[in-house]
Amino acid sequence: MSSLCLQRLQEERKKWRKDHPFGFFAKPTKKADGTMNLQKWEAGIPGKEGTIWHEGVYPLTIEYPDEYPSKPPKVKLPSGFYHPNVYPSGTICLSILNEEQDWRPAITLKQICLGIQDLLDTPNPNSPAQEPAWRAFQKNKADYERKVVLQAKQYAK
Amino acid sequence: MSRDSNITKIIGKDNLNKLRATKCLLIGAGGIGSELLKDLILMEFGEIHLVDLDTIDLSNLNRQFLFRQRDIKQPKSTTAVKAVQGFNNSKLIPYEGNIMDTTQFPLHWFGEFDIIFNALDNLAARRYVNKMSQFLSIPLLESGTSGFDGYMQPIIPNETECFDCTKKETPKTFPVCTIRSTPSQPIHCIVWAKNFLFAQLFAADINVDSNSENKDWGTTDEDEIKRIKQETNELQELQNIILSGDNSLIPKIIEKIFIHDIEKLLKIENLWKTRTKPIPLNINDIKTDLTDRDLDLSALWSIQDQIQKFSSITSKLMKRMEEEDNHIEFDKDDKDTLEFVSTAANIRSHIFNIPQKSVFDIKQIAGNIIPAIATTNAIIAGLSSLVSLRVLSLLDYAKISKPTDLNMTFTTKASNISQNRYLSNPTLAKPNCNCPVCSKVMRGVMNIPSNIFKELKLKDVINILAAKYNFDTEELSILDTTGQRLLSDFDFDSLDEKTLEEIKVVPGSVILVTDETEDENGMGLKPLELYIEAKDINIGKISDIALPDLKIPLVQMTTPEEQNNESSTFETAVLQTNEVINLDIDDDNEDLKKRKLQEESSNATQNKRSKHEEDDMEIIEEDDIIELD
Repeated sequence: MSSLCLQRLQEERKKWRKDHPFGFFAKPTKKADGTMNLQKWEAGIPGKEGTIWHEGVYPLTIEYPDEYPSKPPKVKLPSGFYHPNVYPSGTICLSILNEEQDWRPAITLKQICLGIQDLLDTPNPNSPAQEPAWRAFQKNKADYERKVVLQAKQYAK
Repeated sequence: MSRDSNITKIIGKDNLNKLRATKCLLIGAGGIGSELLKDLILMEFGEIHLVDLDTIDLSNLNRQFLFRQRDIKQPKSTTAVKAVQGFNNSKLIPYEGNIMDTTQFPLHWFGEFDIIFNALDNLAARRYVNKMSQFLSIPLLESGTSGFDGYMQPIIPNETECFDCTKKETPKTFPVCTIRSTPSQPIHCIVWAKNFLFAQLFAADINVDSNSENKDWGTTDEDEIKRIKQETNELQELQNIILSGDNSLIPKIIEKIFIHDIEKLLKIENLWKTRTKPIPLNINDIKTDLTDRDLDLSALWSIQDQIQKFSSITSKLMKRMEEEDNHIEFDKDDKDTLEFVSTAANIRSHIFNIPQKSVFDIKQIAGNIIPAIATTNAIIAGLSSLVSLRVLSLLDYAKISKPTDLNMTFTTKASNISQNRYLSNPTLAKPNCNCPVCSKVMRGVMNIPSNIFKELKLKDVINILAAKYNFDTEELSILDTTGQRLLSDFDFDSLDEKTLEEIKVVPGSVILVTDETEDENGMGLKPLELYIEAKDINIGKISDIALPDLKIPLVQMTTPEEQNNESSTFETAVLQTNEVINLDIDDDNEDLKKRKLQEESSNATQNKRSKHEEDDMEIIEEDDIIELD
């Protein structure tokens, strides 16, 4: 890993400690040897109040590549997560997480987490990543909302 | 005429004596390394230590002129030293080993040298040696070539730009969506075939708990769970077919990946609003002919031939799985794996209406091959050895008054600076003040008696550091940069009571120590990077631990938010010196062999830098081309 990556990740941790949005959590995972792995984090994203997502806190894994911050982290929800822009594996299709689109080295963990919270309730039907949620969102809103609420209960706070 | 008369004429008798007393380290005995070894010997360097971890391969022989057919599979370093005996007048010491091995090559070993020559072929080792040269303030001559292009850069620690002062381009990645759902170029299909399909079928770990009943599916809907299970299990099924060794099932694989999966994609109509729809294979095209035929590897095959070849090669690989422990890695020189990836990529290209590529072309793309040119290596090595005389102040008629008077060199073609000149040689720049390696940290060596690693606790180290440098123990974070681990910080102290031995902080470890206290203006103490060395004392005590005497300055602690402004100094610097490696697959120009280097256009001609990663007919970072879902 480059020095830049490691220094930046420790900075991210410090920043998060000083200032993070209410209801969110994020911390590096433990390695088998008991040390902290700064390249792999776990986070929780609360659904926004007043939306069908609000009951849940959705678990994320964030993996930072060696080339971070030149390259974006890979952010995943649990596999099988029900959302039009989430791949069956859980990988999130979001422009700020895409090197060729809107990723910039200055984007912080806080911005990523807030971006994902936004995406939950405002899916982008033009970049479908899974068929069921995308189809329901387009064609059967009632069914879509029912499933989202069920899922929220499963990840209840 | 005596052997040293030429060099005497050039540098004078006194300087020749100094050169005879100079001890240099040459890292790499490959393309540039062979040339450099010859050059340094002819220049009469007193002592040359040569390190290489590799053995000689047939493909090296066209340019690594010290090696012969009979040397294949022999270590490069020792073979090179034997090969030059006939004209050698220097003390030569070969080492077989990885330069990043801290046991074989501890920091104090590097400290013996007056100058270091890099003739490496990978980014990790270049970064590592750069860092060692920074720790010890030893001048480093960095070099690299890629096809007809190359560069040479002297690095004088603390005085000139280090290797990491400019951003290094890493292999291009593609968005998951492009690879999995909407490929539009041959490379997308090749990446899919190599990193996704091949990896899943032949190189994936067999997932034992994919059927576990109490897995968290993220939904309670029975149908939905069934669908997800099916999705995750489908690939497993394909892998099971491969493992079954039953080649009559191969048509099932083809049906799944080239018909059913495509049909599923077609159902997501939004994907095809602005794109050409893929056309799944016709079920009638899938034959069960498994005969292994030899086809022209540089020609484009018909789709029938592709399917037939895909079937026969899959059958062959199925058989090999049994013999090879159910695990085969993609290797561009393994014809079976290459043909599997080629045919799979081409069938997918056919489906998505993308031009096909020959096996030969795909080998270059999938293997990330950059052709190595002997002449480029010779030119770059020549420049590197020549400039070393100026670095060592042995050229009286070309004296430098300061390190930034030295020149670096790079081929202008790579950077589009000039079509008329082959080389450009600007003087060196000062260190980039935002460089995470040379400028953003203080640096030193922490000597610890070798017998106390097993009793010295992390907490003791924290206290010793705090006492020496006035750190706040509560705010101190300690990172192990070698193992990329966080050992202790404000919110993590469970290892503080462990000994260094227990947490595997060993001689050769590099730790990064930061006091995270900031004043109201965002100023804090500069981070400190310490190389841990073992001091061999009989019965050392904690009081024998030696830390460098440093005055740690207050600096502005940069925060990501401050960098939000896109025109921050570091990013601007990066853009100016940026270089993009293009996988130029739509261009049929064979000259550059599918790979071009181009530099972002910029007015600041003087600041242009061109960086090439490779000097060898090798890979950039083999396993790192892409991220896959």
